Amino acid sequence: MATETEKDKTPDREEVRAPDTDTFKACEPEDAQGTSVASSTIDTSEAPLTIESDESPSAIEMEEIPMAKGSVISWDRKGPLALASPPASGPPMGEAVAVAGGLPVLELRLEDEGEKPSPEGTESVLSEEPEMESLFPQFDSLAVAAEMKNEAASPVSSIGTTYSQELLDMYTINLHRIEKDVQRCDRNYWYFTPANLEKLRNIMCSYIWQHLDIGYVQGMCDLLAPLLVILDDEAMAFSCFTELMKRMNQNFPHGGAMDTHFANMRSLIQILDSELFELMHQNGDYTHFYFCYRWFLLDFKRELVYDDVFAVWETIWAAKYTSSGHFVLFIALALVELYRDIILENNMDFTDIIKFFNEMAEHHNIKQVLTLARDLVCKVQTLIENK
Amino acid sequence: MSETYDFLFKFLVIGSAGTGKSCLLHQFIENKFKQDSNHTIGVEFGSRVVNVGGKTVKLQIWDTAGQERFRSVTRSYYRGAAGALLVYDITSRETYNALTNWLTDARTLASPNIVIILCGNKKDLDADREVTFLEASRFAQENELMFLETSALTGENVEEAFLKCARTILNKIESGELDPERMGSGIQYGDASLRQLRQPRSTTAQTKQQCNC
Repeated sequence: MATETEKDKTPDREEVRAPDTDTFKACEPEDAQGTSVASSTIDTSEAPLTIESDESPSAIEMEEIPMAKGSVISWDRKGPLALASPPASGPPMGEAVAVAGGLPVLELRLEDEGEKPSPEGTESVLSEEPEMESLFPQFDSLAVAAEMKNEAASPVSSIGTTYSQELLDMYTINLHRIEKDVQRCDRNYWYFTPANLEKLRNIMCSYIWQHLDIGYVQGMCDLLAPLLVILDDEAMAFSCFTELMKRMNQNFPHGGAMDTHFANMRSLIQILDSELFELMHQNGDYTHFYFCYRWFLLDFKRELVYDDVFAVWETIWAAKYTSSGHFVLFIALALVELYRDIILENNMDFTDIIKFFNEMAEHHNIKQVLTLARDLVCKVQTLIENK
Repeated sequence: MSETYDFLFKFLVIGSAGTGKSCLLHQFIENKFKQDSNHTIGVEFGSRVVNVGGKTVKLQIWDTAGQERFRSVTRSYYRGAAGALLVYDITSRETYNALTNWLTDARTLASPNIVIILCGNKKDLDADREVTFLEASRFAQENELMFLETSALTGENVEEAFLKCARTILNKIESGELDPERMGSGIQYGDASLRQLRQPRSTTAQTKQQCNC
């Protein structure tokens, strides 16, 4: 496995990371406990989810991110180098950010069209930043012979080879889409000043450059935004977002997991709340679980105010180790159950339910939701044990 | 919650990303411009009871995500829509060029009889215009669409767009061209009868639950 060699490079990553992760102090005890429990999916007996705690459970997930880099290689089909998350390594503030930020802009200006780095070029331009190659390598097949018109002093143009027009067009389309969404991403939230929106754009453009096969899909900005807000650092946010997307990609239209979520919701409601199930079954039709669509796509990001998003996300990440790897499902179930009486009393059909939850967005009592979610995990666990 | 109305029409708002679909809906429902709207994920929803030609009509309006990648999702909402606002942005030729695809989707997935009004939105940004009124109205004519240029910002023609579409549907009902009884027509009669139909179900559900306990 390439793991070993990759790990050799990690020391400097760790150095850089250390000061930045102060906010995510490791919770050693929980972590240790977490690992021991990890094998049983629905084990809530230990390590209750204390969401108010300062030593937030997110530590586990956040800690995991840099460390996972070595072992995660095989996940990325673009070859070993594609895995390294450039901004997280080396001197992050300087080059990494400059490159992340510079690339898209250059791509937009068609004067640089058709450049492609050679390995040597990468070395020289990006100096002590060999991981930066990861921004390029997956497109080797698409690269065409160098036909340089490189006046522009850019990381790309000075490298020596060319990208195919097809590839550049594809990227340009993506940049255009990103631009549209970045401009309107949470613009009522204090953090997103033009300068910080620029960071959001940089990170997203870098991520999409590495994942052009997937391309930008609406919702990705929503997933990145809270990470950037809390980390306030392009490089860190990029790394964390890349990790987060490994799980979240499956929920996007190209991932195909959404139907599984709906099916699970359906089964759980059927088991736990037959009365509600009956109503949904009768008033619903083929689309009747679409009211959960946004919940699963964005890990409830649009349903909650920012502070609650942090609490919920940290809980989801920690729950994998302490409660259930499917905690997202139980939060969704908790949201339904919390309002079951209203849904029943008003005899809501699925359009009413969609409307209801759209209107309830950012008005949920998240402590209540999380507590209920945990209880529901226990409930299902008990049901399984007593079976 | 329990308004009375003569008809309920299911409407769609469709079109490329960033054309102002959600803002049009918001302007129509709330009578104001949605200043800080975010892109729509999945589907959002609004409804308003309007008076058209002496009839009260409840418009149940589905606002969809614009990005093509979500079409597989939004398509499931098309079924049984009676009317649609097909939106492009007059300052973006790209969104205008995509209209044919949206139109095909609407006609094949909703209902062939769906009444569609083409809306050239962002009329207030005339200085940045990329699509002329004439060009778009020709397109509308060729494809048997009604056409208006709208501004969700100023509210110009927004109400008109929805009402024009509703009026056309109503006329078609009255002329017999549309049959509300047909499955998937996107039209329902007033909800008094509907609620009566639904009510017993929940009562049975409740008794059943009690039995289970």
